Amino acid sequence: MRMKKGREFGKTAEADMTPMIDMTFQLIAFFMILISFSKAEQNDAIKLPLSELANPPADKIVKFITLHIDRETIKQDNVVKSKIYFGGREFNLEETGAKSIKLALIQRARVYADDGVEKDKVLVIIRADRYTQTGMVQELIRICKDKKINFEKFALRARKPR
Amino acid sequence: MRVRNRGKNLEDVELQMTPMIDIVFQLLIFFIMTFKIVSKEGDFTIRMPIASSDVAEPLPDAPESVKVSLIAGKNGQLISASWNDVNFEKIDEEGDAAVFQRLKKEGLTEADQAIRDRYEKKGKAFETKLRNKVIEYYNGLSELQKEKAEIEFDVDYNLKYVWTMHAVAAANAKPAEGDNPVKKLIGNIKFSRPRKKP
Repeated sequence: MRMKKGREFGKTAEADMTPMIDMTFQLIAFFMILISFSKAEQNDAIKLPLSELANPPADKIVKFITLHIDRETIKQDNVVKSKIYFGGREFNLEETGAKSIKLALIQRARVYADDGVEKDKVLVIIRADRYTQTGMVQELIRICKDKKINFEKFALRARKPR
Repeated sequence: MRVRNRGKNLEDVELQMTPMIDIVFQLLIFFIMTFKIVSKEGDFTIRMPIASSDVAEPLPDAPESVKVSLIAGKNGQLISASWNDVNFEKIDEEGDAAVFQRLKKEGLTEADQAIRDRYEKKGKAFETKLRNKVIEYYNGLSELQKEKAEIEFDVDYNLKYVWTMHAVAAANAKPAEGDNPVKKLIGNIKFSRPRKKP
């Protein structure tokens, strides 16, 4: 591309734009892939109930865990029960499911204990879909209050209507 | 691509517009793709709803606890609500069923949306009704009691969560109206033991 033949030694430095543009494209692609919204906090599959009073907390909550629970669906005459999402993983409240989510929560509780965070400082945020059965939410809360886990503060999340 | 000057205009710095426009388009597309409309999410805190004895201990010095019972119909929609065992809201599920049949005949997607709208209206009406009862109760308390007041929700297992949130929002505060700011009502909200599924 650059013709070397017959080139005079100029006093000004010529900057070739092509590699610079290539590097810019690389950076843009890199940042586009890097910025992905963490599923631990958001989870778009869940449609929160709407409430006028749902204002983001005034003071920043320091320690919290987010539990998502979706609605029961009916697929081809089968009832698909609500699933619980925590830390990017999926659980159900059937036999084995209840044990595995208890384990996951015990692990998280232990992490907080090792860090010296008191249990009553950790807020459990429950993001439940608006058509979830309330009993499932209550069961989830009960699991969090299990002796080995022992979280005390809970918050039910709602969305402010636009 | 570049016209190389042969030594004549060594002083002029030519600005190449083409790559600059390309980069601008790239940035524009990047920001369009990553633009996400996020609604604000807020929390309603509840107080230790289920303890080891399965019912939370009442706070000391609190006025007598209020119990709101919510009964759900087959579809998980609210059919009856009671304040300290006195019924204050009845939603006719049977009447709705007939209406829904008619709506469904008229077209499926419109029927679903119409059903959702009806329940949204009922939800708001229920919330207002419950909130008025809460305000009536709250205004009858002394200042000290207001701080410690609590409300207990006894909810059917299959009641859809949206109704529970209407109830919690009704008890929690009154939204701002015109110049009046948000008025906080009962801050201590707890749930009874979950009723086992039938």
